[in-house]
Amino acid sequence: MKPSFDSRILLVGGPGGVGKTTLAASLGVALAEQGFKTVVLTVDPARRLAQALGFENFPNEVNRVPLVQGGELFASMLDTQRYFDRIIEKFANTPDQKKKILENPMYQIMVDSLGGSHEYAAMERLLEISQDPSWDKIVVDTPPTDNAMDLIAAPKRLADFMDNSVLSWFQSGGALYLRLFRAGTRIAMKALQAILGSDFLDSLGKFLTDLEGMQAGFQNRHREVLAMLRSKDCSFFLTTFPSQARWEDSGRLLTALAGESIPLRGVFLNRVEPQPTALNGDVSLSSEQRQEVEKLLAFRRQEVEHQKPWTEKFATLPADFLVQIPRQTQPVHDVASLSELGRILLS
Amino acid sequence: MAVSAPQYIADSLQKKIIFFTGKGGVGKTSVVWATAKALARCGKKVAVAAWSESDLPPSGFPEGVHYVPLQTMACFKEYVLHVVRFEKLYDTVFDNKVLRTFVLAAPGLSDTVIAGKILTLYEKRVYDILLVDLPSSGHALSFFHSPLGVKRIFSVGFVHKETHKICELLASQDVRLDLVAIPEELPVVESVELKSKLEKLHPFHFGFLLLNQMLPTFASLRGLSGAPLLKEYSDQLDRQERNQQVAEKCGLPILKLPRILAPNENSLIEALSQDLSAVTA
Repeated sequence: MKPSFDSRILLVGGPGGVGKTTLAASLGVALAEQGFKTVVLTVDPARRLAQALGFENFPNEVNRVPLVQGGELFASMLDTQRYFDRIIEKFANTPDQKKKILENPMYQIMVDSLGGSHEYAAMERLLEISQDPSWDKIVVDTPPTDNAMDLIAAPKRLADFMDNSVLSWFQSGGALYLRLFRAGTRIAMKALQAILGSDFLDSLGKFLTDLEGMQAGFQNRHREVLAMLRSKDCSFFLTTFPSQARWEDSGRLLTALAGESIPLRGVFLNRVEPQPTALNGDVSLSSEQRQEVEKLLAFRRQEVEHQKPWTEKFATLPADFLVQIPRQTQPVHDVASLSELGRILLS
Repeated sequence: MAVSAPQYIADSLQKKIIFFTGKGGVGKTSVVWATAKALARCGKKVAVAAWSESDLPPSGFPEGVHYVPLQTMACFKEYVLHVVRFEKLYDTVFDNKVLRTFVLAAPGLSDTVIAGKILTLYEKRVYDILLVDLPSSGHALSFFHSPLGVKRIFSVGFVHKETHKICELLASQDVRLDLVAIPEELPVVESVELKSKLEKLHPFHFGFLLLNQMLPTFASLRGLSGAPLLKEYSDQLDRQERNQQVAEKCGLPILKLPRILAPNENSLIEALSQDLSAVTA
């Protein structure tokens, strides 16, 4: 089936180190060149790619990327810290509440630790951008996750953490956590106190109390994010690489997606080794060189063979299409090479 | 500076814990498994600890090596059982949804209990050598950062004491930190950045930069460009060399590992570990 990119939100996801950021940027360039007003939302582009996308100086929220072929392309880089501060600003009911949260040391640890903060911020930012109708296409380079599930699971964990049942442990005023109604909870709290120390629980309790009234906001946003991911407006593209390890990683990701009823639209199979071409007669070589040419050819053929079973496996995935992207012989980090790669994706 | 496999193995035999990290997709796990297998061959009791959802080792895990899954809830339970000595009590009081939510999401707690598990294995001398297969760069940084953040907040309690010991352990002579990369631009640049960030966190003893998946060298073909096959190969070699120069900025001895095209994970680990066990490089 011919690749189709008709939905408005295009999520480019997959295991780490498969070239997600580069492919997301190429897709953005290609769509912009087709006349769509496109924004690429990326997390942490490598320096030279960042330069190509116009992040050389400190990024604005959204930067215009100059294209050779014309078209409107913008790029936005996610700064988790800055974005989280803004989420707090948005959900806080009073300036005083906002100030208390931002100054709580717990808050900083929450943003730093991977308790889902990057993923949460990325999804939150996507939701915000998607509500601006002036964007025709939104391409998302999903955060690198060790555990493929994190993209979906982590925001949920964070939302659950803000849930009332956890808060109710802490919110009973005064020596809050010891005055709880259920005996079991009291034992749990005493043990936690011994393990974690009373000051940790105090400061966590204070932090959660500061967040009071904001939990509903977090939970609602999480539901909106899920609804957006499941909608027809949104497509998920698996970016991967033909090898056993990436096949297994991808399988875990797809299971997680299926669990959340997010369909797989397409597969980008990156760095597929092209068939080597043997030398024709007109290159003059020494006998040693001839021998090594044979070895090189054998190695190249072996590379192709090595990928083949995995390429075939990926082709069996229930996606609408699969695009094989040949291994690029030159590094891709300017707009011209992104555009060239983008055309392969759309072809 | 390049080192040979015997130097790498000899140094590893002197350590109690070796941490491995690097950019995703560089074959870090395979390198860890092959190292474990090579060390086990030297007669050591070796274990690989890895972040995992499951108790069972993943398929292809080498025989003769122990597996330690690092799971937040299981590690938390071990902590709690230091204080609440009855497992039954733990199960009735702690095994519920609210607590799970709390432990998995409380800032810094997950990383702290996992570090605590590694500390316990070290203190009890359960294995001769423990290889820790860390998550890729970003998460590895936050893992090493968390005891510092947590130290600021916890001033009493069991975790507070543990956190001090964890920081001491990370700086110990018994512990080494290695980086894994492949000779491509993004992974080597990321390794250099990662090293400088890690240095700021703890006074680690860095070991080696393991440069995985090196192309085979056909020296007589270098610089030839008369046909696409040759030009592409020469360009690739040149790029590999430039990337290796970037990798040298890490200031770590580099051990090069070959690109092995094995039909499956088992034979890859076997081939790679044979390479590491070779007497001469």
